[in-house]
Amino acid sequence: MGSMRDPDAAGRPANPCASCTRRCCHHYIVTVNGYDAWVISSGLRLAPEQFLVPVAQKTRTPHGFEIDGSGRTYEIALDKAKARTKEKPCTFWVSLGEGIGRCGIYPLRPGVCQTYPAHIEASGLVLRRDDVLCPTEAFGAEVVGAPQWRQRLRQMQVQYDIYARAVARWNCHVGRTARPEHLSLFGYYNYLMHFYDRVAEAFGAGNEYDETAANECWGRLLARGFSPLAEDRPEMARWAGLVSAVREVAFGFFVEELVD
Amino acid sequence: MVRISRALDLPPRSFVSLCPTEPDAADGVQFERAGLKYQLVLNKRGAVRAAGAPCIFLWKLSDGHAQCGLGALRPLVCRAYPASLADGLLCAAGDACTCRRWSVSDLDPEADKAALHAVLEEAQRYSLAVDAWNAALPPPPAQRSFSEFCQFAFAAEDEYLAGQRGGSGGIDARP
Repeated sequence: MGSMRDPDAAGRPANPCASCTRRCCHHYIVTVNGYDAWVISSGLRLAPEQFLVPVAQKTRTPHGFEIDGSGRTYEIALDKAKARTKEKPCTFWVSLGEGIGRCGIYPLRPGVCQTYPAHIEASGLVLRRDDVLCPTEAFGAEVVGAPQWRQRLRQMQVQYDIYARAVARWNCHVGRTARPEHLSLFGYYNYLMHFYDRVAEAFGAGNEYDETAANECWGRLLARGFSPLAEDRPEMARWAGLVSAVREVAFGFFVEELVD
Repeated sequence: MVRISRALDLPPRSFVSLCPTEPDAADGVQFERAGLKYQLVLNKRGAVRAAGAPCIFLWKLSDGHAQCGLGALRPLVCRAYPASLADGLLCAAGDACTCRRWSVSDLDPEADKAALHAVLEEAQRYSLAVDAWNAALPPPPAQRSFSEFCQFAFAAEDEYLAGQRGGSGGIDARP
């Protein structure tokens, strides 16, 4: 195999995932945010219910959405494929035999997959998580310390902050709707797709947003307990137009319930 | 094969197989002089039955919907499908799908014609490489292996890419 590798890769460390058989794509329930779902849905022209499943939360988080008035909350996760194995593979897993496989939606894979096995600490330090399936020698500090890991982690933090906003607006709707019998999981998915269509419009509407710098700033604020979507922050002044536009997206839904 | 192998960091053996083909096939690879000719085919998942078997890169959702896992990496013939050219005219392989019939109105004339021309160009380039490989086979009883053919194919692709870069006069910005 060595001779068949790309000569351009000479001197670069091999991708540890290429021959790994630790089965992270089987082991985990891959919970995602609305942006991840929208990227996959719009990129592959799939209905969200074709690849997402709701997962009941044990403890309510800002990403837990309700479907009825029971107070039970759920997260969305990628579905699992049918398999004889105890741990089922991700629905998008392409098995190539002998435990080897590849992601079938690699360019569209969720943020959690893009950033695995790294995490970013409140201090801003990017480290390899210590609870992962990867071999000990894989993804050392010299790998996850590269700028693209930090950028992906910050982007994911920002997307989860926006998602929390989307979820909060939906949960408010669940509590206030005059037609609770119309609430459903499909309704939630439909709302999410419209929500992120409008977020995409906000990003494409000429609002200044230098992604790397803005996500870094946004992420640092989140680490200090502030969300730019909840309050105006001077650190985000350069991107205030975009932040304001994203904030307004949520208020564009279920407007009749906002009167009081 | 080279493109997929490199992009996915996969040895060719894990996703392609050799399938015997006609003696006059332009893409027929030999491993010994006057030996059988083989085509490269993407592997199938599971046993191939009368109804066929899925491509190894196909994923399937729980509702039965299936899609190619290679995305933009998929072979040119898959990208161009169901379009084909007959006497220079674009046409659709109307009855090749089991789920629906295609017609020429389903096609994007510009994009599909471009894809088909790319298929033809790549097929021609591959045929030339295969001719060179077959012509350089050692006299019997010596044989060449599939691994050696892969190395040859990788080197041929490198040579082509180097020519492309040189021909464009552009700067190679790859790391």
